[in-house]
Amino acid sequence: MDEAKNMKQERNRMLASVAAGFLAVWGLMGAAPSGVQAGPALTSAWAPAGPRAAGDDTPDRLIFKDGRIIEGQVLEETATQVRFMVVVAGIKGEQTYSRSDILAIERGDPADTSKPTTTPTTGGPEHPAKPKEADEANPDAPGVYVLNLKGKFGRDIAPTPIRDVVKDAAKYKPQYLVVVLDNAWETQDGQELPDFVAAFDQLFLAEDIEPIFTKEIKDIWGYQPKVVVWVKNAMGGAAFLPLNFDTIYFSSRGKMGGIGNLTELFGNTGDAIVREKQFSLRMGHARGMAVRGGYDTKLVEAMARTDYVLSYRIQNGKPVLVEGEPNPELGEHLLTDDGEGDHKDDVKALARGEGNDTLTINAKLASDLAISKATVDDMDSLLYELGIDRNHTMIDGRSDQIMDQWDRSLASAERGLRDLWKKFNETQIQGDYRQRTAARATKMRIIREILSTLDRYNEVYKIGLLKLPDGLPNKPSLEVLHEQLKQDQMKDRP
Amino acid sequence: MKNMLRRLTTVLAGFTLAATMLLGAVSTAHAGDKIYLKDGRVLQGEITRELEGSVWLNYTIGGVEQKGFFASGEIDHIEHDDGKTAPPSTPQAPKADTAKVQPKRAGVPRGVVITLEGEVGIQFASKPLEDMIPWLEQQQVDIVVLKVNSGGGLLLEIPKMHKALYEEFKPRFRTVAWIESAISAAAMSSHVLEEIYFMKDGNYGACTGWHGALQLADEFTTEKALAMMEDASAKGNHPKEIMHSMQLGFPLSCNRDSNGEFHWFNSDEGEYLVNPKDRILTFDSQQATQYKFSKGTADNLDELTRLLGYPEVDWLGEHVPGEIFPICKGEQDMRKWRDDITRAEDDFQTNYVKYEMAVQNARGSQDIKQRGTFVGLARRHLAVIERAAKTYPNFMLLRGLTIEWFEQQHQLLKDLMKP
Repeated sequence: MDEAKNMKQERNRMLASVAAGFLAVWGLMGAAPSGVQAGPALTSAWAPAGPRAAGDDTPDRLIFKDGRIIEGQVLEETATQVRFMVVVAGIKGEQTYSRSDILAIERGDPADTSKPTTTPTTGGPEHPAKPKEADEANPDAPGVYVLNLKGKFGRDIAPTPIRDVVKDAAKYKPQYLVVVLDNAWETQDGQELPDFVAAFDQLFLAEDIEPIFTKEIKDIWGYQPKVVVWVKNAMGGAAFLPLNFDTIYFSSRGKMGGIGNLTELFGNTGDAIVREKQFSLRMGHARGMAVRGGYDTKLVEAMARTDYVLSYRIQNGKPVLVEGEPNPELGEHLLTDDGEGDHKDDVKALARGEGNDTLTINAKLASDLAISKATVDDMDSLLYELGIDRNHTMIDGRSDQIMDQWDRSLASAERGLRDLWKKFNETQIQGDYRQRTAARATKMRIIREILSTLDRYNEVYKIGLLKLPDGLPNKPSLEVLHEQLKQDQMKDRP
Repeated sequence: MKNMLRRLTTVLAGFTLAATMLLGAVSTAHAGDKIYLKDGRVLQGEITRELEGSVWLNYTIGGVEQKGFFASGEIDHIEHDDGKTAPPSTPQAPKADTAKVQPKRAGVPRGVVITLEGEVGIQFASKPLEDMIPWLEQQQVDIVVLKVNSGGGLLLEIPKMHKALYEEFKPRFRTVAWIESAISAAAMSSHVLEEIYFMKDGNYGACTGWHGALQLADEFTTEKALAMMEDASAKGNHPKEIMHSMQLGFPLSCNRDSNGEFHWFNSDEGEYLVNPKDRILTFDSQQATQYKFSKGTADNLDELTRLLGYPEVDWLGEHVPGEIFPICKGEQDMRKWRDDITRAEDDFQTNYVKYEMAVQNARGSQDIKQRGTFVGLARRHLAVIERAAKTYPNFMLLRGLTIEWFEQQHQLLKDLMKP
């Protein structure tokens, strides 16, 4: 049987430690696993619910396709989910529902509480308000909106906050969106990683983010802005992101790489030709990004494959990339060797960031190879290079606040999970029947709350970058635990 | 296996039918509004709420007042107390047999974009495509664009896809593939189409069959796959040498003659080396266009319309924020298929464990009443698994669930109820 796997399933299996627990559940069932199902790329755009008037007590209503109607308040909406504060007999509880289960949302209208507004849910969250010019903007000056991408790729730099920033930027109609890319290249506990460490499969995290800029933005803004990527640090999956754009600048200490482990991803597992298939399909995705940005796909091969030999020369002021060893007579220079035998990078080269088994692009190379338009170290210089230093409006948007808020909400979610799990473990099922029933109910409620949090931050959870309390089972196991409590309660019934 | 699943389907269908007839027999007329359900039932009562074609109805059965909810998908049509008849106003486009067909504009062809995504044989499947044909025909669709974005899947689905595309779609519609990512079985499924267009970052290839821990499929399966794809290459008018290189790492080179036509070799003898030996070929959009495998590269529907050779196409569907093409009823149905099967897949493992847990608890119950409670619970979980098996045979096939297994479980539950 041909079992060429869904790419995103593979990604999850490799990147997420949750897979191990998942497999354990499958083992219990005696059926073959099919892998973790990844959510579609567009599933996690939280859109804040509209503001509610003070004292407005007309509840929102969720009308489900099975006929259920619940009352409460819509907290947030995404294309696929609705976060809702349920109110039952005056008791409030937060729940997340799948949009596909919801027929319509009736909103308690603060302006006219006698006429609730009903919105079918087929179209996802409401389209953002039609963009308006910033009041202070000079109508002749192009607007510049800056998005700083800092922190861990896939965790701090994730689709949800980026999508929110893009929506915020839409209000100001900027002509330029400057993406300052400076990702943390470090271990889970914050240790800096050297250049030769690689994470090629973070490619698929980049694929979740890239469409926001290349496909969605035009629809959200009503036009395609000029996206400028300023590379300060683009290592691991972040290295793929700039390749999608034709306008890249580097800072003088800028680096782009950390994806050179493609051919080592699977070690010696299985047959060589099947490993080649795995490399090939991944390179197909990566080359596609380079094609989109207008870069020579040989660069990506050299960044990713240890066995790929690439040289270059400057001809008529332009770089020419040549597969194979350099020809000194043509003034060619070696970019990457085959990493075999004597060519394998030694520790001296690696320690100095001078290895050439795979390609890490620094500011000089980026300039020589015409990847970067220029090397700039401050915003004024960047604006100068863009030719708008004397004629632009710098937009004071909420991008930094949105990104910071995302970080804080992740940290808060992690603290919440720790507290919930601690409480779960401290809750003892003992005493008389009434006490045991109450304890089980508490445990079951805690599991629901944990699952709700994991769902809300699924894009980070599924790649193993959400810090979980020790011993917390994965989602399927939590569902089973919930069922076990339910059945224990049935058994316990006098 | 097919027969087993067919038997299961028949058994379940029979059960459903019997249940439906029973319900229809005890439904009594009350007064006021009437809803005609697709299963043949007619319920009369008072509609208390109507939304997007779904209704809440107060009615009586056997003298007992009932409050029921009926989703738009269950309703054929409604007769209101005032004598007006209304078809369900669903949020989706109308169903094929009642859908209003807009007159076509002279000289403007009508097209739809349908996405093929997910795992081939699971979410990406021939069945929803075939189910769509009556609607496409009724809407007088001329062009079907299949937008492909998939990392591959099951070999067993590929012949079904070939049959659907080559025998059902191509004779009826101008059927083209628009490639975002077509890896492995996704590329192999699309290969019977002559017209293949790429998105700028599109990729197509890596068709090596494997199993387990990156093990190459056995020799017979590999040869069968080669033969199947030689046939598909001929149907799609693609050089078979290209697919050979995508499947098994044959070298691939070509010469270009004075007419600009390429001549292909599974060796390095050609002037242009496209794929070195022992590498697996995956085309990007540049290569695909350069070697005339792709008819062109389009990142949006306007560009695709031009590549298709039309100044204008009447693309059916509604604009949805964030989408790059209008979403028609066929596409809505396709997405629903994928959502439903994905949910079934996600829930399967927990349902299975819940079922096993209930069976264990039933076995351990000395008290017959308690045992009955657990058997009831087990039956409910088993019913969910059976429903998924009926709807998505491939998915269940992968889990090794057979008719015999279901029969054994029903017998087991029956036995557990013996005192």
